[in-house]
Amino acid sequence: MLEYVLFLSAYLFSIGIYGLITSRNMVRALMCLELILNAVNINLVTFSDLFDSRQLKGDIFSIFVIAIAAAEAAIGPAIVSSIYRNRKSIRINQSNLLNK
Amino acid sequence: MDLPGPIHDVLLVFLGSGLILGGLGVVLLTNPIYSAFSLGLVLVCISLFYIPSNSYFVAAAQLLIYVGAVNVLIIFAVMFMNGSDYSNDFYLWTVGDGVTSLVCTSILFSLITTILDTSWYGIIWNTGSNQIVEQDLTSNVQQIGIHLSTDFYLPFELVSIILLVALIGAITMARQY
Repeated sequence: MLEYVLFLSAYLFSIGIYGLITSRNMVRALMCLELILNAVNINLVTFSDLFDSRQLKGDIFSIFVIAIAAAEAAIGPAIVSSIYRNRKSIRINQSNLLNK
Repeated sequence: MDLPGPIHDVLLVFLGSGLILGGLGVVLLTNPIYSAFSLGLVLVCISLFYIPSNSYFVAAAQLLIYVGAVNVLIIFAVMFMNGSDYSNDFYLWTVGDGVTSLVCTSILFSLITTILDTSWYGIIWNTGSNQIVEQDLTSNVQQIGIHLSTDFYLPFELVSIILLVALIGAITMARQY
């Protein structure tokens, strides 16, 4: 049970890193960021259930991670829509507004 | 949750296969709306994973916040910025993609060998001896509430400030001038 869940978490983390690096679409990069945060959450909840089943501090930290991810998911599409309004494109390699 | 053994195993295998296929679909599907829906599948599978590990509150919070808010917001963003360059954007396999996939598979296999080498149950037996004494009768949700209002009170308030700042910042950036 524990190794199985840790394998799934490692899989989600590595595929999130892969998608975050190679995606050309900004919204897809945000989705892969959510995958990485969810891999962290799976580890926190599993270790909290097995090692700390009286205090449940891993659950509390996973709730904080969920809150931070919600804030990130509110900020990210706002930035992407602002770039899209200026550039009419959400390709990652075309957003060089700070380059001028 | 104490499910009987075969149902538990079948549920875990089913959720794991859904999670693996959904994770591949997020990265490899060419249309971003399909990858957003497969992200929703991955989030629902993770939320159902929390139920066998006795974390009902986190499962409900995951289902409400991620699937109900974050995934809906991402689908809205994909539909809002649906440029015409998705259709002719055929999937180019460049050298950087190959190098990145090599690095990520090496990360994955090194993590798997580390997980297999570590003796987890020795750690469980070492740490689990002193926890049986202070057994209390409150449930998980009450325990989380007690911790959030006593010794995690400062991070709780800081998270509320962060959410307020993120709300104001998102409105400010997304507003039309």
